[in-house]
Amino acid sequence: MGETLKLLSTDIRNLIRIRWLWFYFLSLACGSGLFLYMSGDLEKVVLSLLNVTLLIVPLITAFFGITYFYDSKNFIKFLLTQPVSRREVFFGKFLSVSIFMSLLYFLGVSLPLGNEIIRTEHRSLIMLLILSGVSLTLLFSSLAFLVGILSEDKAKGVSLLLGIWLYLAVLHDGVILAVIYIFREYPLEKVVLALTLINPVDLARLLVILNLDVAALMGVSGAVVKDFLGSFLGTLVVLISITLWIAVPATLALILFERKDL
Amino acid sequence: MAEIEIRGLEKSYGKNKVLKGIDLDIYAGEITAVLGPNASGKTTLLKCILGLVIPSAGEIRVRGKKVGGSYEYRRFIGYMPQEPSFPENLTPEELIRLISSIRKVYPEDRIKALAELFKIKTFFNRQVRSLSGGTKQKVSALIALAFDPDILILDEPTVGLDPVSSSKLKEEIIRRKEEGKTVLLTSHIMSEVEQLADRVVLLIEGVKRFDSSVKELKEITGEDRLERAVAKLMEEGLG
Amino acid sequence: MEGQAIFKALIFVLLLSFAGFPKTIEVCPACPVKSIKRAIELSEDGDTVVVRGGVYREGTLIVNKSIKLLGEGNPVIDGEGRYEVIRITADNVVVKGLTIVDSGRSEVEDIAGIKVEGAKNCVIEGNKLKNNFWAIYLANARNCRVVNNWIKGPFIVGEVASGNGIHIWHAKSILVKGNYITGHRDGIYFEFVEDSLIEGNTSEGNWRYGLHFMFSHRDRYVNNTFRRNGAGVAVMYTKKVVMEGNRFEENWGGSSYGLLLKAIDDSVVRHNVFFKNTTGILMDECQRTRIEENDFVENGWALRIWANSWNNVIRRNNFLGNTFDVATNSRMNPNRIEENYWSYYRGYDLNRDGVGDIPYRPVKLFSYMVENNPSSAVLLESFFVEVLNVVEETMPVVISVSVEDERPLMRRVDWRR
Repeated sequence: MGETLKLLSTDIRNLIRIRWLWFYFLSLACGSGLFLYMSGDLEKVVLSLLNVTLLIVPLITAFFGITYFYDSKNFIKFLLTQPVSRREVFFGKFLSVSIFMSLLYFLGVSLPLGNEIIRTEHRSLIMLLILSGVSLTLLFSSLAFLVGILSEDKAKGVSLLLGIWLYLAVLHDGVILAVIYIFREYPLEKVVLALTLINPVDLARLLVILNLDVAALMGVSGAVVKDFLGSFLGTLVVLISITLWIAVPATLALILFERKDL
Repeated sequence: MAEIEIRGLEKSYGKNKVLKGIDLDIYAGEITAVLGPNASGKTTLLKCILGLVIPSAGEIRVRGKKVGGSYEYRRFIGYMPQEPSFPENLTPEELIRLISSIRKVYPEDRIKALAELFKIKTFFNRQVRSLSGGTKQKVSALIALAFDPDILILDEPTVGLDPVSSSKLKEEIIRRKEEGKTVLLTSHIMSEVEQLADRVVLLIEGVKRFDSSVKELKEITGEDRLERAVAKLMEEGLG
Repeated sequence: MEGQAIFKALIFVLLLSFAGFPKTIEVCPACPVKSIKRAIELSEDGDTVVVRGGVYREGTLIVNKSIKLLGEGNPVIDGEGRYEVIRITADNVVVKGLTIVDSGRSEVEDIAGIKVEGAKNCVIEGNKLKNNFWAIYLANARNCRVVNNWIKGPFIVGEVASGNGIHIWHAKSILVKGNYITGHRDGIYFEFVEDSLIEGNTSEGNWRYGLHFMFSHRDRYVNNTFRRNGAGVAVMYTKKVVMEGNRFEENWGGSSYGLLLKAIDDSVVRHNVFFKNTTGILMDECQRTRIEENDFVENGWALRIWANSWNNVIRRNNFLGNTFDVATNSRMNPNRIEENYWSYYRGYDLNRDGVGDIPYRPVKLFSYMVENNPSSAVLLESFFVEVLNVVEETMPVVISVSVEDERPLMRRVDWRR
């Protein structure tokens, strides 16, 4: 644990000095600020930020996470010639990337919106957005490490990860739409709900959307989903789903890393 | 008792057998050079000792402790990789602090002396990205030597170093040996091996083909220069 | 015939002279007549009762004579949460300038602040009605005017807690004008009300409908505002309605409509503004109705037309920044949608005649799917759906919902001129 903290803090020093991460942070902050400046309607600001959070944030996190992993590989090997366990090295690296990226997202969104968080009744809405963004950041860091450890070949690893991103962020919804279309004769509510909640990106989208006025456009199905998510079972499902999505790839990555020839 | 004992060591990646049953003892107070053509298994052997590669069969003991369980044995080892790769945005100072905190000692005097020796004090607060390959190599050497490890594992230690630093490093290695430390190294530069090594181990296609002192090697092959002797051996081995 | 009329007039003059000239009775706490009830007893047809400032608690006032009941100095008539406050059963009654509060509530009776039952030519004008069960209630009335009343209900949701603001049942030729209604169940409710004019009223914040009517033919609704009502406006089973110059605003919620048209035939909806409603207009079982020169601004759906509606005309409207312009569950297009302005239209106009050269398809595949499979709504704001929209626009062949505006306008319709 102590070793993990030492590695983590040193690694964060390294991350702080990576310029394009600050560019990412500034883009987020400027974007949030600009959305807020252009539209006084916080609903619209949150909706625009939601799109960024569901698409761009996972993409950047995944891409940065995996390239950083590959770039650090030799140093990781070097660290492992020191008296320190693989587990500690893994956690040091993984936590530094995921915590730092989450922090950048958190600050990038919350600094420009700070006033709204403190002053307005939209506080919980913004918190929910940030929570979704942080969860997706953690999840895609975790996927990045898993793929990085699975694939020795950088090009293959990056494409595989981008493929996963493309599926989760975009194509999965197409699959849902196709399922709805193909099985339109059958009662589908529960299947569709399950298919949606299974994907963390959709889950994050729904969590935020359902608390916006646009949720009215979802009509009865919106009400059904909202009821479900608001229920004890729903909250449990959401928590378990998000936790599993973050923990399973990370744990798998750790297990593989501990047994891998470097 | 040998500092490093290797028994029946095998490693294969899929169908590709890289190490085919190696038995080897490395002793203190000696510099042992592992030689062999490219892809002969030298680096894999070193990685097995360091715990980076997990053997398919056989076992390795470092100072009597089996490799593969605890990582504590690595406290005795100083390692210089072939090509050092440090986080681009950290400074050597920060790197040394990190390794020191992991090893739980900060050998200030030795670090100063080594920095002096390699003339890298001025680079201590510059980011790694701005350092030349040679300077990185010197930092790597400093880290390997600073904690005064009982075992030094050096993978092509002088590659990329200027002649002055190279000779200083070699002197340092010899001094450590004379202090009774164990040194295991690989090198392609035969003159260097001749200068340094007390003992030569030749690996060819994952098999130990030769293991004796440099003197013996010269006698057996009838060559009085190591380079020629090794070349002769390799040709025989390959043939 | 003529002789009979003259005879009737003579009788009338004779009666008048017997009754004496119309008189005015004053009511106030310090007056000789302290109770309104007593004043009504004392009055005769044609008289005026002036009620001066003060609070009157007299149970139910039954106005069974053709008199004027005028409030001066803001008199308050209190139903004490138990009584119907004023019940009018005679013709030609005027009730003006009274403040009527706290009528009784009942699960079986429709208790009102002012109730008119089976009377003609009544005028209910400039009253304040606060916290009544029903506020103004007309049954079997003709030729009545309900004008400039200010009505605030109890803001309690529930059938037994609050009735309608202006409730009219079985009536003809009624004028409902310039009233403000809030906090009731339905702001304005009509059943079997014909040939009437509803003008310049504001109905907002009622928990069910801002306006709700059925079987009320040939009525005109002009320049009213219906804002933030629980379910918006719903009108049903009626022919020949005219709705002009109204504003339907911010009726937002899962089952809330700017204007729900259910079985509305041969009607006209013109020059209205639909702003920020979940659904601007929903057409269910409508025929031959014209939706013309309206503005649909920032609604969820501007227009939802169910497959059971046909032969309607949707023409020269402005569709501005709605999430979905048109939704339908029909693959056919049995209505005429033409010459509208669509803010999402990306076509061009090479011959510069003001009409786009390629048709606009206002029904997006996603909105079609939501209409047919409500569960697809969970994909709202999904990026995939955005991608789908772009694909649809660039390759219309892929999608085959045949609703289209063949002559989309390049510029907004300026119908306000």
